[in-house]
Amino acid sequence: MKLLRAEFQNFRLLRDLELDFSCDPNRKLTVIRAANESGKTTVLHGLQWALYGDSALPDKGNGFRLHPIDWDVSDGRRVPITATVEFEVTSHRQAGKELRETRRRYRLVRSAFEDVDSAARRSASTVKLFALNDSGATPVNAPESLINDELPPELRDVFFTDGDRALSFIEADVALSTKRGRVQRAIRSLLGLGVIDDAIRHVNKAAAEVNRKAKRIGADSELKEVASRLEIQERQREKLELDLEDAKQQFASFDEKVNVVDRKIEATLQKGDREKLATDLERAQKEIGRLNKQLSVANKEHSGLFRSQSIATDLLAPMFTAAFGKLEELHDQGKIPSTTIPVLHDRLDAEVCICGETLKPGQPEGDTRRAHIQKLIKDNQRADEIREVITDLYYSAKPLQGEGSGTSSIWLEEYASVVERRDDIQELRDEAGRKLRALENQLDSLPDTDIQGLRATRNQYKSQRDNYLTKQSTIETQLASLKRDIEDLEAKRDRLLKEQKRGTRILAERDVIQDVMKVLRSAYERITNEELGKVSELMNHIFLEKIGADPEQGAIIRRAEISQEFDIIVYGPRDRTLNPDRDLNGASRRALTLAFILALTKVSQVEAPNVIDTPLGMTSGFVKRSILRTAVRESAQLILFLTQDEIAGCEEIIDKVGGKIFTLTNPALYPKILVNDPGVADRKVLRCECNHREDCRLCQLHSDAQVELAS
Amino acid sequence: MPLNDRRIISIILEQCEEVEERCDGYRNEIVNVISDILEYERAHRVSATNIQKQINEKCDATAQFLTTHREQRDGTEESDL
Amino acid sequence: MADRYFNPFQAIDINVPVQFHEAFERYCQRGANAVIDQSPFPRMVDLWFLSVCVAARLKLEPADVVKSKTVKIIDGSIFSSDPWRIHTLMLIAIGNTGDVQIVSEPRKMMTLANGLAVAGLPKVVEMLKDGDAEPIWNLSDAMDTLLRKEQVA
Repeated sequence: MKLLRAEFQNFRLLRDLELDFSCDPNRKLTVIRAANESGKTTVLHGLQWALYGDSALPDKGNGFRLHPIDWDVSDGRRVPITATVEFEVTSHRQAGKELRETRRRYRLVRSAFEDVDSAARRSASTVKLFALNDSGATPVNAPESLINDELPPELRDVFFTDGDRALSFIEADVALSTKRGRVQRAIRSLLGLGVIDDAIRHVNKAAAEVNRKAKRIGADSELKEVASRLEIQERQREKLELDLEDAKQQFASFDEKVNVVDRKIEATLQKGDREKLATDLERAQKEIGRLNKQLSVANKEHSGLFRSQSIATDLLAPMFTAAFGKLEELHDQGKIPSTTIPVLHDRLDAEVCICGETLKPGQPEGDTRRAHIQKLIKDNQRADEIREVITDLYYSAKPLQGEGSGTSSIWLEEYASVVERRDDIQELRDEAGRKLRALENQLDSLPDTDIQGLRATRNQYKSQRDNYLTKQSTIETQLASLKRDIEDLEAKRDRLLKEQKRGTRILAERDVIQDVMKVLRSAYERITNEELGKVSELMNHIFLEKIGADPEQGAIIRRAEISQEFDIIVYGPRDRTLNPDRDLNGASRRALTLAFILALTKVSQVEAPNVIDTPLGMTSGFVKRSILRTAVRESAQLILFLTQDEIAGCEEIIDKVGGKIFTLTNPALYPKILVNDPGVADRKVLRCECNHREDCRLCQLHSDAQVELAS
Repeated sequence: MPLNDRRIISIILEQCEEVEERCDGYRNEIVNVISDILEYERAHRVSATNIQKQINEKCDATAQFLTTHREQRDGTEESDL
Repeated sequence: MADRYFNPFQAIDINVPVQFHEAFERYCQRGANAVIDQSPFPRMVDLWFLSVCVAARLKLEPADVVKSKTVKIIDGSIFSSDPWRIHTLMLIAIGNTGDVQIVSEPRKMMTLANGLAVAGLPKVVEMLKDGDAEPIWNLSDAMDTLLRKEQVA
C-alpha cells in the first residue's frame, strides 16, 4: 500500500487541509516541513483515524475532542469531521502456480459528527471505501477488512511512527517479556505468522473431530474404548497446554517483577549509600561547626578593632601631638620627672646633703638643715602630687605617642588583616554550606526504600518465578509422556480403524489433516527462522550503516540482532551485550528502532508507507544524514515530518530524493515564532508550497525561533 | 490482498512439495486446502465465521478425494491382480 | 598591674543624653548571642570611647551635657582594666585645654570627655548607618576613609 493523498475537514487544527504524498519510486521521500506545534502529531492522528477509527486515537478516542477548539457555534452546534485518504494497493493473486500483480487505487472517507460542548460527544464514525478507476469511484463493501489486511492495526507502530514512541521496542523501563511481546507481535503480524498460527489451532481441532468419528463407528468395540481414551487424553493435553501457557505467563510476570525490583535496587545503590551519605553529612556539619567558631573569633576580632588602643592612637594622633608637646615642655624644664621629694628623702636617709654637709640628727647643724629640708618636702608635696601624675602620664603614655606619631596607620593594617581573615573563613564556610546542602539534597532524593526490604521482596518474587519454572518443566514432562500415550493410542486406533469398513475414510481424513498440519508447521518454522534471520541481518546492516559514522558509538557497538526469542540485542566489543537504554545515546536508540521497522517492512516485502514524525531529533551531522539516506533506501514510501532544524544539513539528500516537499504552518505561532502575521482569525494549520530551501511570508520563522524550536 | 501473502504462499508451496503424493493430484489438493484455510482465517478475522466447520468440511472433502482415489487405485490394483 | 593602677575616674559616672540610649542599646553587644555585625561594640564604654576619639579627631566642640536629660551608661571604674584609656583621656584633656594642671581634676576631665563623646556620638551613629552593609562594615569603611583622608591631608 502507498498513500497518495489525504484531506481533512474540521479535524482539530486541520480545518481544511490537503496533503499529497510522493509515489515516485525514484523519489519516494515526502517531506512535510513543520515547526513544533504546527500540527504534525494531529496529521499523524488524522491519518490513523481515517484508517482505523477511534481505536487509533489516544485512549481509544475516549474524551479526545476532534473538532477545532475555537469552533464558532454560529456555524452549527454539531461539527462534521471528515478525513479522507487515497491509497494505492498492489496485490498478488495466485493464478494456478503463477503470481499476478495488480494495482488498485482506493479512496477511504471517514466521517463523524461531534457536539460543541465540553463532553464533545460524537457519533460513531462511518467509513466508506471507493475503488477509483477511469470512470469514477465505485463503492467497495467491508472497507475495514481491506484496511486490516493492508495495514493491520497491530502494526500501526511500524507504519506510523512517532520518533519517541518508536523506542517502545527497546526501552528499558518495561520488562523483557513486554518488549519481547511487542517485537514478536510486530514480526509475526508483518510476516503473516498470525494467520498460520490460527490455522494450526483450527486444524488441530479438526484432528479431534477425526477421533470422534472413529469413536462413533466403533460401537461397543475396542475401537470405541481406544477412541474414548484418546479423547480424554486429548482433553488432558489441551488442559496441560493451557496450564503450561499459564505457567509461562506467570513466570514472565514474576520475571518482570524481579527485573523491576532489581532496577529499583540498582537505582538506589547508584544514588548512593545512605549510611555513607550520613557519615559525610556529619563530617560536613562538624566542618561547618569548626568554621563557625573560627568565624566567630574573626568577628570578635573585627569588633575588637573598635575598642582597640590603635584606633584611639590613630584617631587621636594630632591631639596627642599637642598633649605630648606640653609634657615634653615640662620635661625639658625639668619639672618632670618629679624627683625633688624622693631626692630630699634620700638625702635625709643618707644623712648627707647633696652639697656634702652633714644632715645627721642630734647635731645642731644637721637638725637645722633637716628641718629646712622637711619644710621643703612639705611645701612641695601638693605641687608634686600633680607632677607625680604628670610624670606617671609622661612615662606610661609613651607607647600611645610612639604608635600614633607615625604617618602609617596601625589600625588600617589591623583592619586589613581582619577583613582578609574574615573573608577567607567566610568563603570556606560558604563552600562548606554548599557541600552540606548538596549532601542533604542527595540524602533527600534517595528513594525512601530500604535495600534490605527490596532484596527481600525480590527474593520472594524470584522464588515464585522459580516455582513457575519448576511447574513449567513438570508440565512439559507430563505433556511429553502424554504425547507418547496419545501416539500409542492413535497407532492402536488406526490399526483398529483399518479393520473397520468405514475406517479407511476416517484414516484418509487423518492423513489429510496430518499433511496439512505438517505443511503449516514447517512453513511457520521456516518463516520464523528464515525471515526472522533476514530481518535481524538487515536490521543490523541498516543500524550499523546509520551509526557507523558516529565516533562515540561506532567504537562500542559491534552489531545488533533479533534473537529467536524476539529480543533485540546490541553487542559491544567481545560480544558483550549492551543495554540499548543505558549504553546507547539518543541518536543510536532512534537509529536502532528505525532500522528494525525498516528491516521488518523490507523483509516482509510488504509495500507499506513509513510515516515518521521527528525521525532525526537528537541526531546531527553525518549520523543524521546517514539515517535519512538509509531510511529512504529501505522504505517503500517514506513520509517524514521534519523541523527546520532536522532538515539542516540534509538539504542535498532531500534535493535528490524528495518527491513532494511542502510546509505546514500554525498561524497561532505568530508573533513568537512566525515573522509575519498570517492574518487568519481561526486556529488552523495552513499549507504552503515552500520546500526545504524556501521561505515565504506565511512560513518564515524568526531566526532565533528556529534555534529555540530546535532546543 | 493480505499482507505478505506472496511470501507465505511461496513458502507454503515449497513445503507442499515435501508432502507425500498419496494419490494423483493429492499434493495439489493439499495446496488448495491450505490456500482455502488461510482464506477462511483472513475472512474470520474481519467477520466472525464458523471457521471450524469450514475447515472440518474442507478436510473432509479432501479425505473424500483421497478415499475415492485410493479405492479406484485399489480397485485397479485388484483388477490388475 | 592594670587592676592596681590608680584610676582617677573611679568614682565618676558617665551619663549621656537619653536620646543616645537607643544607639547604645542597638550598637553594643548585649548578651552572649549578640550579632556582632549588627552591634560592633563589645561594651557601651567602647562606643562612648570611640565617640570621644572621633570628636577629638574632628576637632568638634564638646557638647554641653548639663542641660540635657541624661542616663547613666557606665561608671568610671570600668577604666581600671584599660589604663591606656585613662592616659588617653588625660592626654585629650591636656590637648584640648592646653593645661597640664587639668590632670589633677578628674571630674573636669571627664566632663570634657563626655562633652566630646556626646558631640561625637551622632557622627559615629551616622558612620554605623551610612552604607549598604551591616553596621560593622559601614563603620569600618567610615573609619578607613576617615583615617586615610587625614593621613593624606
